[in-house]
Amino acid sequence: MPGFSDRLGRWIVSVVILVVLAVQAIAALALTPGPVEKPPFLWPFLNYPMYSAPHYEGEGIPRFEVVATTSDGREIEVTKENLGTDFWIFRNAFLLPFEQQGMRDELEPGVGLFERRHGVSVVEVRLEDRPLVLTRDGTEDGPSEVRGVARRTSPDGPWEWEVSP
Amino acid sequence: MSKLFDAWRKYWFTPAPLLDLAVARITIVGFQLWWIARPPYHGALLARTELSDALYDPLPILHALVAPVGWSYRPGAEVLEVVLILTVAAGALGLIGLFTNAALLVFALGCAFLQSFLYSFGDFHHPEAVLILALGLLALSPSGGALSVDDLRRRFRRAREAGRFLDFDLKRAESAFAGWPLKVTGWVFVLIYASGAYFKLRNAGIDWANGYTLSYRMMEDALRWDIPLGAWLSAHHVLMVGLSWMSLVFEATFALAMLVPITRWVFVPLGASFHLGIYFTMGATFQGYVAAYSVFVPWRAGLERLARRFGRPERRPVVLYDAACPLCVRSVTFLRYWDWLERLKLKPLQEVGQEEDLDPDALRREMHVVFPDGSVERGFFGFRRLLRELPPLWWLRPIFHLPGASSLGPRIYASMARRRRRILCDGEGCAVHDS
Repeated sequence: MPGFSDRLGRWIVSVVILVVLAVQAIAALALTPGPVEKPPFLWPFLNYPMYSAPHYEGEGIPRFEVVATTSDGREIEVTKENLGTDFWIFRNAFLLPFEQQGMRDELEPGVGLFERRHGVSVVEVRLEDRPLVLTRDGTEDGPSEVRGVARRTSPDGPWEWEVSP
Repeated sequence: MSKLFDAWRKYWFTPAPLLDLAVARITIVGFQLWWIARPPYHGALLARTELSDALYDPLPILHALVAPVGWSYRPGAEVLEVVLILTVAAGALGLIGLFTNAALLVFALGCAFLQSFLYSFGDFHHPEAVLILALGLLALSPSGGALSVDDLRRRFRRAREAGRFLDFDLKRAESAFAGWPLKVTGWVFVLIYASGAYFKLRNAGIDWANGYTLSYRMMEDALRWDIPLGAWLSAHHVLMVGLSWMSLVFEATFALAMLVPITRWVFVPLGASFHLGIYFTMGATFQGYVAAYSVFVPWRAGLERLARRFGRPERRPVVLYDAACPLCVRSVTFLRYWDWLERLKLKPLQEVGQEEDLDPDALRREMHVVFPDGSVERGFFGFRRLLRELPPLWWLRPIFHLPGASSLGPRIYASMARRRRRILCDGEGCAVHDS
């Protein structure tokens, strides 16, 4: 017959087991409602939807290039290296604003970081894509296109967006 | 209802090997410690301190962790560095098992704090989540019950209280609380993989396995991280179709690894290959999953098998020790602790008969080891030769054979033996010895 502390321990551990598995199950299947829905809300309990969207033959795999135009007319490519950060911060600041309207506010701090590091004033940011097209035998170069331009008339002015659908 | 409780108790609280839990602690803590102690991790933390507040969007767990100093407090570089140092120190203690539970709790919280800070700038990833959860579970369990300094000290203390060497087999140590953290981590893996399969099938159906989906992702990541192997593999359509189906079936059926344990022989190597494969082809850093897979491995059963195959020889080296001396008892306790293959026989010199032709005074001066070939080694040289029989201590062998070790080692041994008589043997046992 287990002692009191043993039985108490089992009760406590049982609650821990139930909570951990229940929260992980809720997060895993995205059963969370309202504000909790955004996946990292419950971090480290997460769902795992990455890589789940389907792709098909003939689709283009994007290869992006970000070009900043300074107030004196120079064009400088923006990379994660010359931004001094990792790919994910670079993507949030310079790629996602062109893809998601809700992310457009992220451009300004990214541009600010670039301006501070390079001592320049940026008036235009252009996103170009040189895609690779999927074929059954691998990939081949697709046509390049400008995916979007964000520009402002003055260094502190609001950004105006031209984004291709 | 009581049947349900019984089933619950039987599943989660059946006594399980402490060794299995301890190995899981060592692999998971070891990996996470290495992960956060790398210079790039430190660099990533510092790089984020330079980002503007406009990009800072703390995860709820970070809010909770910094709440004592302010709900929206943003830690600066100095604070992050102090937390990193404390976390690494706690991880090192957790790894060797010194103050294990407290150390693991600090380590788990420190890792959660640092990682959630990294993910508080609009972007988050998945590899660390299961490790952080597993660390929290280990902190609440008797994971220091074996293969730890805590456990060794506990055995020393019991031997001292008993006034004699208490023989034991580390492999047989069990606890009713040793199984649940491993099982919960296993089920978390099941839910993670089920989530992966669920979203693939919900968003793409079986089109997900058309080969182009994986080819697209592999090439995209290969371009992003500059991985030629991924770019090359992604061009092989039939291979991509095969790997896609394999991934989907693996994720959807991983629950079998928990329900039918024998299937772990398939799932664990396959999963390890899967995660290492996506690291080498796509740069996805899920290597930590491989470390956490240690929860699925029956380490004790494996060691038992090794002991049956390579251990328990008919003629074993016999370690003759002074049962009346605490330091000697402590030394043989230490030897037995690493004698996983049961290759040593430990015998008090008080039981040595005159027919064994050994000098009783010499036996009291230093440890003697009688090897199966009849040779006798003493003190440092006996210990050095014994190391051959103790695989977990093989890493010490090169050190004990360094140039000069043969002259320095015996001196150190003799010095400890002298201190033993003077300092450590002033209890009851040593009174007998000195007389």
